[in-house]
Amino acid sequence: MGQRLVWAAAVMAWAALLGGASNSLKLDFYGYYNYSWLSPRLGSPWNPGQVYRLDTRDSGLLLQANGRLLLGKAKLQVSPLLRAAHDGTWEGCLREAALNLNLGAFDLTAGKVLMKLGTGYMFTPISVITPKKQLADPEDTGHEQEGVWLLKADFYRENFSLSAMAFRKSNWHNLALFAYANVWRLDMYAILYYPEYRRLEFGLAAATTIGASVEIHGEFMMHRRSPVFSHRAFTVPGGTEIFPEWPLFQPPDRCYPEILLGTNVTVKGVNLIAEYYHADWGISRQDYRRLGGHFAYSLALLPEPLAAMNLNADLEWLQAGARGVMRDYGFFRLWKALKNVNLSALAFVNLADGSFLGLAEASLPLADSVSFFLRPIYFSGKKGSEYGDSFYATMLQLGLQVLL
Amino acid sequence: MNKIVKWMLVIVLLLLLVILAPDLCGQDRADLLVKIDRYRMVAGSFNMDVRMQDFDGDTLKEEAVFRGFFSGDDRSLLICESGKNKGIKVLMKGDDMWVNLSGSKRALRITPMQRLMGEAANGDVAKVSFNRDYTGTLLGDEGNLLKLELKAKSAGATYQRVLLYADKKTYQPVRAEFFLLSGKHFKTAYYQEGTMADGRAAVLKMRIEDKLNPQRYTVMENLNFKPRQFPEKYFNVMYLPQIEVD
Repeated sequence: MGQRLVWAAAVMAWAALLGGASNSLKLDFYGYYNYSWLSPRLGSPWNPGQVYRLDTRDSGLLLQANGRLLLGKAKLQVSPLLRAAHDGTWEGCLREAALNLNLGAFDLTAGKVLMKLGTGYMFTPISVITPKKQLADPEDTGHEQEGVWLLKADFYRENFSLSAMAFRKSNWHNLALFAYANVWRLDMYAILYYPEYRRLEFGLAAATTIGASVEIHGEFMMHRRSPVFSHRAFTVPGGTEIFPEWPLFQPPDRCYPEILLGTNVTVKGVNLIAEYYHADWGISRQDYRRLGGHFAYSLALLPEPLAAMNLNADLEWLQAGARGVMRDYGFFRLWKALKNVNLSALAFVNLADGSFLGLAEASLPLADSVSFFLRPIYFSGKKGSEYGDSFYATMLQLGLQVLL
Repeated sequence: MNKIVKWMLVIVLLLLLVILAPDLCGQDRADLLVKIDRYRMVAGSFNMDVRMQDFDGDTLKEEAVFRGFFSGDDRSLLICESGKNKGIKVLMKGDDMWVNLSGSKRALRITPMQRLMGEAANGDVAKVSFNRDYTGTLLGDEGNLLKLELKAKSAGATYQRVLLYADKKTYQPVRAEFFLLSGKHFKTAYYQEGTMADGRAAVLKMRIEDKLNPQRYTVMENLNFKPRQFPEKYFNVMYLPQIEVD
């Protein structure tokens, strides 16, 4: 990591030298500090008897520079990122580092790029190349996400574009062909994706506006392999559940549709976004209860934090690449701008068990390039539900963002 | 019998008049709107900076400069170069609009009502083409001014009704009152005369008053006009996050 930072610094210095000569270097700086008060849930079945000593305070500092050097038809972009954690440790990485050639209607790009595709606000099934979104900041205004290494060729007309790319996940064998067309006031997207596990997948998306205040969008992606593991349990006659030694497994390859339907409506100065999301690989409510039962069973056998740690690692595996562990979710966001403050409230709802995560935010611009936010977060649900069992019951975050 | 034929002729003529009159009037008003638009709209493709100053009473609250790329056939791209919205890019094509927030890697389609909630609201007033977007009815004179009522041609237009006042002799626009679908008077634009580089009289400065908050108003000034051709991809929403202005 240190090597990468040195490399990034060297590239920036080189860019600055050239930029000084050509007067075509653009630099932005971004800083983000947040502090959180966390309130662990005492009755969480995932942390019985508080086997984990969860932090009740957290903080983070993020510093990012974004340099773009324009040299004729070429553009070099380098964005090094530094993160400081609450325990004082620092981590550095390259958020983006890419060379782009602008050849008329064609563009060629090589390097680490943060690419976002799709029409959804919270969910974007067709965006196979986009990193996982943060619930509290789906548009990544906090600059937390990192790009992926890729090679990309684009062809653009005014109402049509075609992009062919090869990108790296665990290896470079990820190929995608992405098309966009704007026809009859409709934004249409199509993707063909050939991932490293060699099964052709495809997706479609569309968005348009109806009248003056309604936008609708939808996406469909057909996956051929589950991006997450499943949890295995057997029920023997008599109702006893048996858990194998390795309960997590890669489910068999089949079609796994991922669906989004959403709308964006503005009424009397209030903006509402509502989205429905389905991920076919999610586990059922019954399987979720079994997972809880498995956890309690393991903990009874090995009453040590290690057992809890293993199973919670398993839970993370189940969530990898998805927002939650189950199949159907709803997302709602209300937003209103007042004279000196922007207010928003969002809810992320598990439609199977009715549990939800609620978040409110007040964002206050302090100056042209500085803003402050306050963000209370609440996890709610019955016992045995996804958000009713969460590690934390409430959180309160405050933060400061600076963009220069 | 003769009387009956005469009466029938009169009725047919009256019916024809009723049927054709709106078209005839519409045609007249369209010509008038073209003349009014000539002061505000420039044909062809050009580059222009737009300076926006927000005032609260006499106090300047905020100033931003947008780099604008305009293509005569109703396509425009605005990139905010300074102020708290630095880096925001707004693409407009007809009634459609997309916004690329600063630092974000994709552009999102937004509705006309959403435009009113953000900084783009005034841009929407500025980009209106009376002739292209509205049909007009002449309501009469007010002193030296013609008073026209305009109705939006498209249900997707942000402002469904506009009351437009223009000089009776020169057709130079003086004031326009913009109304929402609900009938609420939302903005009033006051057009100020300037002179283009070629010596032609034009509206280069505009004061937009917010009727919901009368203390607040915005002054928009067009600067550095230059005819220029742009690549087609500048108006493709997928290219929006990548555009860099030299």
